[in-house]
Amino acid sequence: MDEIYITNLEKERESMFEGLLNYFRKRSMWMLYYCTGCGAIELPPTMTSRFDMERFGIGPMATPRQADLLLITGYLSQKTLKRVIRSYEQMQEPKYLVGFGSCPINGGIYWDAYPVINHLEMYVPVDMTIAGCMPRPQAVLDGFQRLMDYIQQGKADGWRRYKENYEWYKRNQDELFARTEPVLKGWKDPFAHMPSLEEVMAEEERRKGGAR
Amino acid sequence: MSSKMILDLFGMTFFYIVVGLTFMGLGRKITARLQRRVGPPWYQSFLDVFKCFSKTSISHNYIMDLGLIMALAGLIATAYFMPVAKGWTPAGSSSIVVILYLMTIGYLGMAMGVSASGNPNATIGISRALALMFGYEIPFAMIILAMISVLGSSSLSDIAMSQAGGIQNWNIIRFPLGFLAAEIAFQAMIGEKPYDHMIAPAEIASGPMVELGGKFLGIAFLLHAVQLFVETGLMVNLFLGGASTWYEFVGKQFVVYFTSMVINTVFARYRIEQGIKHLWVWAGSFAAIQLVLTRYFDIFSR
Amino acid sequence: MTRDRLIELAKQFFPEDEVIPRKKPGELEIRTTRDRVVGVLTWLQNEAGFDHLMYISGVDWLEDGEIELVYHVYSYDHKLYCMVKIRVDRDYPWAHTIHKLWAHAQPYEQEIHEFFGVYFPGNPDLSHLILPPEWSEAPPLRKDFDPLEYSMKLYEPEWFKSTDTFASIANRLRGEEAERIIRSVLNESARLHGDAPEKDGEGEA
Ligand code: SF4
Repeated sequence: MDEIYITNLEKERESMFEGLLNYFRKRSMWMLYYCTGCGAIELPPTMTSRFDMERFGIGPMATPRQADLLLITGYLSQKTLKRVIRSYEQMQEPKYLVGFGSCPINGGIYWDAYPVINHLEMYVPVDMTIAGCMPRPQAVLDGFQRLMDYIQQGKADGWRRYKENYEWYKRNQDELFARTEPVLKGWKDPFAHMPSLEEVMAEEERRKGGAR
Repeated sequence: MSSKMILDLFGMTFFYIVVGLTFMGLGRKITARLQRRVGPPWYQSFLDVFKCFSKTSISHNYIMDLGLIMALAGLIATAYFMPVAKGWTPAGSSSIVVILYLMTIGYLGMAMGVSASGNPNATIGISRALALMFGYEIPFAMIILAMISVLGSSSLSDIAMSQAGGIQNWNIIRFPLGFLAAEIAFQAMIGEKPYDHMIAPAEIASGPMVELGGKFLGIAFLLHAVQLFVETGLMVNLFLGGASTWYEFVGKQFVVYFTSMVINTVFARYRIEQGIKHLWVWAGSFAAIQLVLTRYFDIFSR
Repeated sequence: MTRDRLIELAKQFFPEDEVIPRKKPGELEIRTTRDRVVGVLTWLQNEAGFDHLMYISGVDWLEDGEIELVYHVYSYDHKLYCMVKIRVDRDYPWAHTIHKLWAHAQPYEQEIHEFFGVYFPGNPDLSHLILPPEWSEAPPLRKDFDPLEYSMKLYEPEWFKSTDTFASIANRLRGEEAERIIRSVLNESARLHGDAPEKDGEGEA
């Protein structure tokens, strides 16, 4: 695996203003929160009077085009993942993605459920994860502060990793979305060709006769 | 055009943007304090704009680029006609008709730019903005008509100068009903609640701004900043007696903006047809009564 | 109409079917077969005043080799609730569509088809409604579908499990720092497992 995935990027292509720009980026993060799971319920208290995340310049935005920060709040099903990837690709660089709770990290309590993916970082680059089920507002704010540190240090570069390892991510995504083979063998749908009522009844007769 | 004038224009553009962005930051702070939050620092809008310009952006076609630039240019040109201190304007004259006329260019440029992006939400937002314009332009025009008929001049700096000499001369005392109407119309003009139909984030995903990312969003922020400067400046010159120094001017502008932000915080949004009806019925009737009183009964005027 | 009267009538009309009152007042159950169920439901809708089809649910009886379909119908006039149950063969499960009786039965049947594999000949649309369109596995609510195995195969491939620590650490860290941490993790695990550290230590010394 490690041959394919580039972890050590070539030396930072920093301009001399990069540090300054990073300061602006970290102090003004507009987030798009994707209410996929339980997590969205923790965001209103984080935004409103009690915890007030706007004092760090973090605020909600309406569309992916305007946002810097994509929050995956909770479990993510295969179908939603497709939309998440689309939203993520619509966002303008630099962009950051935060996984909320244990579900995007390793599946959480849905680790054995058939529709819910287990590792978000296989399909999109994750800059920061906040553990908990659900993380409380304090934990959320703490996570955001750490993300701000990472942005300042230039470590939150998921968007760059996504570009450089696009084949890797694309292959993992295609394993879900472009698969032709069933994952579990041994199932054959007897109605795969969508027979009409007469055909179904004839087949039923045939089966009964065969049984006798 | 002398080089001093060019310098003046550039300096003033910078001044408009700085004032507008500071107001936006302070406005967020005011909202936050009224909601018992700490709120962002006053320079938050500057951070936002710088960040926006440091991002990549996506353009759908050249009309989108041109439209936004045209909007910004139109609004900055409007601002040049705004008397700042002692009736001084960068453009030399300050005809109120020109100001009202140029101000629409901002909206039209925005409309052109964002409808080129092809997103239906943007088109809905723009059509709402233009519909609302019908609502507030009529009362506003009536008040200005009343003032012009008393003063006999359509120059904004003349109107401002005529109020010199103390609070009792201000138009807010001489045209109280007109001020009420203008205050309602002003709320719609800068697009704050209860008239923020244009940017309804929960309904139409921030309306005209829906497709704007990165640098375009930065331009949209600058647009709003200059727009704030022009519109609060209009209110100051029309009703609050103009100003003799620039910091007096900005202070008065801030009072106007503060009032509007407080109203913004405590109100909810009207529906679009309710909003226009409200503007016509209340602002319109106040303005009409004011016009009749000044024109035919000569009350309130000296 | 009271429940007792309804039971009486139903027994008259459908002598072959079981009509059972349930424990709760106002609830009853009719056990019938695939061939008669459309008749029963038509009678319930048109004659007995059951105007509302609440839901169609499925139950997989793995040991019996049968799938049970339960039609929940409700009468707003008489405040009566009736379950109509049929059982179909698990290997070749199909039933008659009732979307002509209640138009909203169509998505219910679509869902049953999706999750239990029961086929409804004549239903206009049996494509995937809730499951992703690329789904080609067994119907997931059948008892012999193993969600754990599916999840492990699709979402936790072997190669990812073995590189989990590397990927997630390296995702967040850069350069020397990452190397240092990864090495310390490796040393730690080697120490816990016993054999490796001595060799390493000797080699280095
Ligand atoms: S981590 Fe817990 S709270 Fe969050 S989505 Fe998963 S189950 Fe829900």
